[in-house]
Amino acid sequence: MNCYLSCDNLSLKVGYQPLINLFSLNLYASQSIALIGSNGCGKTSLLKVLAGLSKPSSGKVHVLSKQLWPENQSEHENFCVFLSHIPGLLLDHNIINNLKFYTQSFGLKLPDESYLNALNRVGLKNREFQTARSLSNGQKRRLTLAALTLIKPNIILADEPTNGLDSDGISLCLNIFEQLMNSNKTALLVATHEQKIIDWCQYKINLENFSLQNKKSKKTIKALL
Amino acid sequence: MFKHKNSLKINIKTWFFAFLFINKLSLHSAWVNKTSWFSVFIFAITLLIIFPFGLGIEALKRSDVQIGCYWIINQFVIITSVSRMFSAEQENNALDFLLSSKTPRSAILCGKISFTSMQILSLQIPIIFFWTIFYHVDEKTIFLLLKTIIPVTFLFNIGSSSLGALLTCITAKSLAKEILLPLLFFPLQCGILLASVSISIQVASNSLLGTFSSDAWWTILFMYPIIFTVLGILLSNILLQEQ
Repeated sequence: MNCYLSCDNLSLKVGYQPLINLFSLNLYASQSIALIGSNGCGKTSLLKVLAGLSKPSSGKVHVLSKQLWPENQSEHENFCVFLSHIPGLLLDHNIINNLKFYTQSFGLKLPDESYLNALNRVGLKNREFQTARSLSNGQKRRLTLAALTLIKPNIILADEPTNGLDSDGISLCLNIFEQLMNSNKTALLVATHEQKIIDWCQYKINLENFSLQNKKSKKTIKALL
Repeated sequence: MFKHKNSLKINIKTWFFAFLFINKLSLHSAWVNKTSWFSVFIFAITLLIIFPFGLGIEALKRSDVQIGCYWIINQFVIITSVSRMFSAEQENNALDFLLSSKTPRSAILCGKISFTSMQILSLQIPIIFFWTIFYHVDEKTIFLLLKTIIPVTFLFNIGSSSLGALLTCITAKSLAKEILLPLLFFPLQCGILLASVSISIQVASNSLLGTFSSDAWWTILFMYPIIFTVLGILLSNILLQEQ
């Protein structure tokens, strides 16, 4: 099985404060992993490092068999779709242009019909010329899901992908993830608090086990006792 | 050898397409935000009108004042354009998506530099027109002046945009970016500004600023875009990354 993403002994700091210590992970094709843990335990920071958006304090990251960190040897500029907790959109552009922004960022040029089909699938039919600013939070999230169906990425790093979605939206989200995993062998790493997603994922990782602050506080409590 | 489905190796062709994509995207963002272009333009025209009242009509006949005013107004146009270089993408985390995509970071930076310099030029063309009217630019020297000002302005725009792109990325994460950007930008931009003013003055009054020769000023004017664009390409991975 192809290992799409791996990291060895990854440590992260926020300022001078250690956040995650010696975290290792292998993410294989068609695999889904849920990152769980309380607020501030480093889920978003970890996803940003794995997406190549920020740097870790130590450790190694490999993506699609190429090293990303400490030295970027990736032949492909990038490799994955990172869905941030706020849907990344060009707010003053219309919906169809936002979809084009998503696909063309990945070097894909698709016929207009595919964009319309994708919008139809996520329940945004006949809204293609509406500006993204006028959409509700859930609709913005649905738009990013429509983009996923068009890009068909190898890796999805999703930070709270169900934020703002209703129960139908959550089912749609899971449906799209599952379809991508089956047809495209997409690997999925999701940071979430949504129980439905946690239950659906094949593996769960509690980041609090790698949190230095947590270990220290446990030690402190033990010492006090 | 491991192969993945959406393989897209970076070569000159893909880099150039990404560069064009960023330009197209920025043009579209500028088009949907036409009001900001018009507000900068109206602001520049207001300055053009206000300066003659402060300087007096006599002063306006002196070529050094005419040229100086033109470049001061350019400075306002440039800082307002440079500070909004990434605003459309930064507003709602779209930049994070773009940075994690297959678009090369150097293409993002170069695309932004080229688009910003073109955007500034689109403001300068009508400004030059109004400037020749409001500042009584001599009919005999107007063509000579335009012949020099157009290439100087072009180089000045690229130089200032490339420097601005670098500093915008550096100051992007700072809480005081609105102050920090001009604070770093203006002192570093001094060289290209003085070169542009000096070369323009030479056409109008046949004198140069300081003891530098005309060639020295032209060298400065050419070196700024080259140095800062190359620096931007080399440092694009670091500049467009969270620390």
